[in-house]
Amino acid sequence: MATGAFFHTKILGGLISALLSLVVNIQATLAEDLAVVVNPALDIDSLNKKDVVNIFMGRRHTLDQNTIAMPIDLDDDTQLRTAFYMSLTNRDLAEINSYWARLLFSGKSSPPLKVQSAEAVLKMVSEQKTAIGYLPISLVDQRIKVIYTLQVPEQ
Amino acid sequence: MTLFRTWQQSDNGLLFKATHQQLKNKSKKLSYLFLYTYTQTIASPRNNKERGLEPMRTISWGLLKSIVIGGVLFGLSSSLLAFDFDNKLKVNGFGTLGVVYNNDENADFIRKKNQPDVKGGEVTYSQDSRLGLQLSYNPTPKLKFTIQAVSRYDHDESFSPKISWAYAHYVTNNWTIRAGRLGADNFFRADSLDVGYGFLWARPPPDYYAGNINSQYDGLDVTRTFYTNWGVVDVKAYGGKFDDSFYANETLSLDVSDTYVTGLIAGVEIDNLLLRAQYSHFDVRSITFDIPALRQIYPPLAHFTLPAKSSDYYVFGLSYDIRQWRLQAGINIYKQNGNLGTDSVANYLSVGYRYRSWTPYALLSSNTPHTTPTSPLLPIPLPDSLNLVAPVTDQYSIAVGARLDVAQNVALKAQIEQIESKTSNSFSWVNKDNWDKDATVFSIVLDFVF
Repeated sequence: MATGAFFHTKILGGLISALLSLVVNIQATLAEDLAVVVNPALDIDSLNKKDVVNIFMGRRHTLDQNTIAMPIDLDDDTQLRTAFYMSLTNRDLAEINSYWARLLFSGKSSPPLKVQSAEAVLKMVSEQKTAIGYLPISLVDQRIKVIYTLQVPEQ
Repeated sequence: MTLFRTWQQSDNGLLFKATHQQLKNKSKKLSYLFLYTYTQTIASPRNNKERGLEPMRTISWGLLKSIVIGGVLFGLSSSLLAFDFDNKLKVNGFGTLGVVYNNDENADFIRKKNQPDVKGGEVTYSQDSRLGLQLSYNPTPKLKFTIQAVSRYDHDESFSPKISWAYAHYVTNNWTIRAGRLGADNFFRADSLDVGYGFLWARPPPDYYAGNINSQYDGLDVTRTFYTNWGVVDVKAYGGKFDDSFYANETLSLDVSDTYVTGLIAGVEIDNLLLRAQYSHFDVRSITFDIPALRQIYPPLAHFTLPAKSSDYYVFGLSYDIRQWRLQAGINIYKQNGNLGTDSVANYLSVGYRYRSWTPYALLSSNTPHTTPTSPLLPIPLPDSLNLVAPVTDQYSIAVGARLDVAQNVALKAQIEQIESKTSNSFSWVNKDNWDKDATVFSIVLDFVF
């Protein structure tokens, strides 16, 4: 019996330490915030969440009075894109794609242009005055301007 | 940090190029599979054999054309995907491969009024399967040209593609103007009924949408958008002329192309809530009847044109995503000012619950007449299968089903619906003289976009 109890304690201890290490790991993998960025030449310093939603969901076409916005999105099936839309609209990518199918094929609006990496977003926003994109905040440098910061909830 | 480690490691984007390529290959394979299945199954529908057409003729030029055009455009789209930014040209498509079975042999279910009927008690591919391709060209950020063609089993008993939309689109600050051939937006979200991937159900509720016989018009719409602190408000005015022939079945066809529409839509979007109110006025200047069976017996009644009057639709729609719940509802109030059927109210309510890739749903819909039909056009009693002049649709449906998002551009759906009618004459059924007024409809569809 004593041996059995010892083993139980050992197993329990093992489980607790496994759980603890999981918690530590979860804290270590906290998602990084996302920055919504534009070209520094643009005469806007901030947008609110509604504006960002409206621009990326095709309800708003302009950045300011005279600039037709060119939103830049990331390719399907990427964690960054999932995190962006989940934080912004509480919808997963299949639902976002379904939403766009309705707008695109009824001629209301076209989905944002897609590029293949956050680096490509940075490059495009730094070169195109009307572009607006999103990327991990750690990638931001002086070539682009942050106009909104999106907090990505823990996974 | 782990979440973004892959990004930082792949600074040349190679990793995501591979993912992108895999996705492209996946949708390419899917489209080939679709085209193959299309030729193998739909090219020889049982219907045509029953109508005594020779098997060779069932593979019509239209179908071959649609496959060739589809293949060419799809190939074009695959090679253009990587360059759509520079070339300002985009090719997109949507499609559905669907089977439907209605358990009642005495009533033939149809998805859309101008499709030929399919015998009850049989499994059919022809009602729901379709393929659409859209080509758009953006010469400047403000200007866009779009053309869309859809291939579906239509009143000419073929899958020959038809140009459904072709228009120019101009966007300024708060204004959007479109002119050309436009999708008719008469009912709540009626301009995207062909895009199965865009909605939750296997098929839009027929009680609500089957009356929507006009799917496109030649005209103009102007939208003014207002951005407020609490939401986005859109007001759209539209007007134009319809181009539809409205084919009922082999015994009767109606040409309602002498119809003009004007309307106003007001919509508001507040976060995940969308509300819409709409008024449409239809000025039906004449209806031309064609009854082939009377050509030998009494030619004057085989083809004739009658003046008609006008009708009005008052439409309300709601869509609300709250947490995992997906709610949608629509109400149509139809008022006729002459000889165009009966006043009626149609509505639907849909409730879905999103759980991971699954969305099980329930859908209730009904269509209720509010006046008894006066039929001064044809003051003689007609058999139900012919009585389209003053159809009294009085029925309700209950459907349950589920949508499974199998990939980010592919959804699989299964649905069972029970339809109960109070009259044997109903808008979404034909050949129902001996119908017991209820039926169960089973559907499985695969929707995709690319």
